[in-house]
Amino acid sequence: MNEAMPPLTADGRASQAITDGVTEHPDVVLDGLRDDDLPALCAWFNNIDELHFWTTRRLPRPYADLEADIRDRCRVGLFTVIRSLATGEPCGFLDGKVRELHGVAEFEVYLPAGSRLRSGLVAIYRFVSHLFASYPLRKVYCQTYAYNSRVVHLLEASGFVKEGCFKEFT
Amino acid sequence: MYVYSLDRSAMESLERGEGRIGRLLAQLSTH
Repeated sequence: MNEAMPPLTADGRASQAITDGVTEHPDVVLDGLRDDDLPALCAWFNNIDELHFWTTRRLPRPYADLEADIRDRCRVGLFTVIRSLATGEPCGFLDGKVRELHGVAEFEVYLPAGSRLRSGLVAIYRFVSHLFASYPLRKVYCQTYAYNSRVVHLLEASGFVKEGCFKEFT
Repeated sequence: MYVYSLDRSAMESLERGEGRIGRLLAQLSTH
């Protein structure tokens, strides 16, 4: 581990509030990122063929690059791990940013293939509930690739409304 | 890239367990 990097934690205020009992569920809990989550998260990204939504370069990317990306996201946003209560392993993540001046927040959700949709649904609901409870927001946005049918399905199941699409985004 | 949104009133409705989605989420969250 690079000693020069700051401690790997999600935003203190948000992660504490998110994990403060209200998000517990028999299957998953929303949690801050731990150092030992990094190998799994980096492997997820390097196992997908598409140009991923948070990169501008083709995968696979070096582990150090992905780790630096994740650390940056922990510093500036609400990077939250969806963790299995049974195993303690990460089974997805949410990455949010709050724009209090505009009264909106935006987030992305990542669920690896094979993860349980029910867990994803609860995780999204809890994350968004936390955002509205913690910040003076009018609206919460989520962007996802059109081909990501799992997340599209989950967002629509969570009550999200499609507002539009970016053309030729990547 | 699709953009989805949920506004505060819709979230409050879900939290009250209203509608099919609200009932489903309430059920999943309390299991």
